[in-house]
Amino acid sequence: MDDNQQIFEDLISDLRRWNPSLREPEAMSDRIIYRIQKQRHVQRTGLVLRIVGTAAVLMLLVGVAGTPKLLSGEPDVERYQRQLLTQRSEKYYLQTKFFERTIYDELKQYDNENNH
Amino acid sequence: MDTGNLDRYITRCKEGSTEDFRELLHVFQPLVYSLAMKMLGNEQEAEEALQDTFVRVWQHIGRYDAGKGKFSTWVYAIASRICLDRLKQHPPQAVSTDDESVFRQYASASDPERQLMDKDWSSIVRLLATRLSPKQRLVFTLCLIEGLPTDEVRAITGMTAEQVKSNLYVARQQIVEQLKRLGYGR
Repeated sequence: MDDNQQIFEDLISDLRRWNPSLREPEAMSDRIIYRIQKQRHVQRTGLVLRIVGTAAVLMLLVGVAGTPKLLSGEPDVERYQRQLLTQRSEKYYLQTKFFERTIYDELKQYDNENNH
Repeated sequence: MDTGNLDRYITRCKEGSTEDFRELLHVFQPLVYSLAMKMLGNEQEAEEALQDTFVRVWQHIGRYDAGKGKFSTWVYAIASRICLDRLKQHPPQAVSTDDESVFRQYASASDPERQLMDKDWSSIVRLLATRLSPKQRLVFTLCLIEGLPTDEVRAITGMTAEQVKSNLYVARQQIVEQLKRLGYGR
């Protein structure tokens, strides 16, 4: 065996005996388990979000499809619908009473309270 | 760990038991760490490769089929791919003079004194593997340093027997050249 081959073989047999070991194998196991559990949590959260998102989209589609259109051609129904659209609810009255009041609103309220 | 116990742990891991996975870690962690250290020649890189390997083992353990090969071969295959990817993404840095001086110390010592630390061996591996491509490095590590039979190396790397042999031949030549360059041998 020539010199080169001998050095090579010695080196290989020494490298085979080399047995690198982790400084803290338990800590490494903990780190790996932590990564796995974290990943599992992220995957589960993603799955739940996907299910909730899909359900919301389906509900929206069902809602849009199931909403009745405004009837037209029926005089009684049209009158009722117009009334609904123009009617100001009590809630609206209270809102305007306390917020966003203009001089016009004040005068109108004064007129309503004193003349009706 | 005997085959019956191993199969039981693998089955439980497939069902989602992380406690049983911890048992597999105890057995296979040293094996993967050894491969990663010899391939990458860097403690931090080897630890990261080890973590990535077992996270991937956990993700794909459902696909492991005992009929197709040993579990250790399957784990080695995953570890090898991760080490290869790391070598491609972060090519090893140029050899330092420290690595050379560690090697010279090793070469000049007589046999009983050749008790080196892990970091010294890492230096020697880095120095020897400078001229090797990632695949040559993998074949060299599996065949020569880990001492695995060619069939197992084929199963791990997905190479043909000829590819394993030719990569190993070139790796040997390159290492001998490197030794000559360092002044050892003719």
